[in-house]
Amino acid sequence: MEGFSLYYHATQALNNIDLVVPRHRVTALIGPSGCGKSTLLRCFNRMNDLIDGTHISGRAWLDDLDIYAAATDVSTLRRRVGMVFQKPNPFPKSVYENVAYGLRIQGVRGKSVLDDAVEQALRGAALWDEVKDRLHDSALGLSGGQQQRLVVARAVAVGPEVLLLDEPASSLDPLSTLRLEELIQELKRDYTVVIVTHNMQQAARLSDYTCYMYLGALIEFNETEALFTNPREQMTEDYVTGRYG
Amino acid sequence: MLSTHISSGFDTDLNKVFSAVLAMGGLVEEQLGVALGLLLSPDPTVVSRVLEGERQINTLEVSLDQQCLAFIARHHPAAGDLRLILVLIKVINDLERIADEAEKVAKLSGGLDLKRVQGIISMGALVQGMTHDVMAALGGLDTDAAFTIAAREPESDRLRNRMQKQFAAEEDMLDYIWVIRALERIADHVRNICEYIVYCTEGKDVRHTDIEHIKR
Repeated sequence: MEGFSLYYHATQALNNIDLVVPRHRVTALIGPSGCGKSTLLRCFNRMNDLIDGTHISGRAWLDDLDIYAAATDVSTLRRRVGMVFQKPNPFPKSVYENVAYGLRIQGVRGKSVLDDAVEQALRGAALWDEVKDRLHDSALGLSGGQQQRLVVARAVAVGPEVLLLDEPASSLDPLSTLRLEELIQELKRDYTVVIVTHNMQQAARLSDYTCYMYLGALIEFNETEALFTNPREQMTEDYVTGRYG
Repeated sequence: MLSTHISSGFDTDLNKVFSAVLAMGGLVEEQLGVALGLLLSPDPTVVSRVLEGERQINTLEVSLDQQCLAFIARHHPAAGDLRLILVLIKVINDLERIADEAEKVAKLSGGLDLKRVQGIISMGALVQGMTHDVMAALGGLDTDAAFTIAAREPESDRLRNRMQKQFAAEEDMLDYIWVIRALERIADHVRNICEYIVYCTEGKDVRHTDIEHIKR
């Protein structure tokens, strides 16, 4: 991103962001509520376009693709940049159909091709062993943690390059959270991952780089280890230590 | 000294550990003062008191380490707070080692004739002053003071070398050498604490670096 700002009508939500997200690494966005971290996350696949009155200035790139150029096809962009939301949102369909859904939309029809792709995506989301005998049961019967991994499988099935995770563990119990974090560590081998989290320990545990944001501005981007042990900016120090004044 | 944490329990627990480490420093200073006093006025009763004090300090070391671990487990400190608690754990270790060296001095005090060796008293005063000053610097997390105190450590090496040369031609000086080494080790531990203070306040690990280089 270069000098990227985003406005909701006259309200500026992101202020002149310069950021390079490292490839095949996990980058965490942290900051207090309302700082713009989810807004920034949604810029990477133009999910903010769905909100009336949104306009931007500056540039955002995915490799050579100018994300906000008029000629950019948003559906293609969103296939390249997948997203997982705060609450697991499986479709009210079978486990199999949830994962196959995006592929069917892309026109994939052959049963064996779909079977292979579903298995590969479920394995990639560390869910295959738990659901291989109930692929045609409703996805709504899975636990919260399993549903969230199913949603990850659905996202990776269409072969994205980037995965955006918006507080993906906030509704999960501690063990499911750790399992999801383990999965995220695996995912970075194949995908570039950007995650929004309110949980600083989670950011410290699983990310390689961390951005601290405040009032729409990017205060510090640093290697996670440095940001949590010796941040460059006093504002970051105050936030990660929980101090003020 | 520390700005206010959003959780008052965090501040309460951190200040409690910090104060306890400073209090341990006070006990260690006292042990060292008594041990150095024994060089001038040997007294077996006072030596026993130093040995008892050393046992108390050992117990305190274990208890304070446990408090630091509990703080980390409970509060997950980060950045400056994480560096502080890490530094306190290391300071506890160095303080306990200073107390060990003071115990050695006390145990050897009965057999020394200070008239034979010029410099032991000066060296004792030097390390005692450094120990006192470093605890004050730790209490205030005072980087400048830490640099100043660390710069005094080479003087202990100089005094040790001078005295060891003096002993070269003499016999039966082993106890004197042990005392001088103990004092020199105390100066080393004080320097370690100075380095921890710099790490805590500046986030720079300056171990194994010379003072002039550190300042740059």
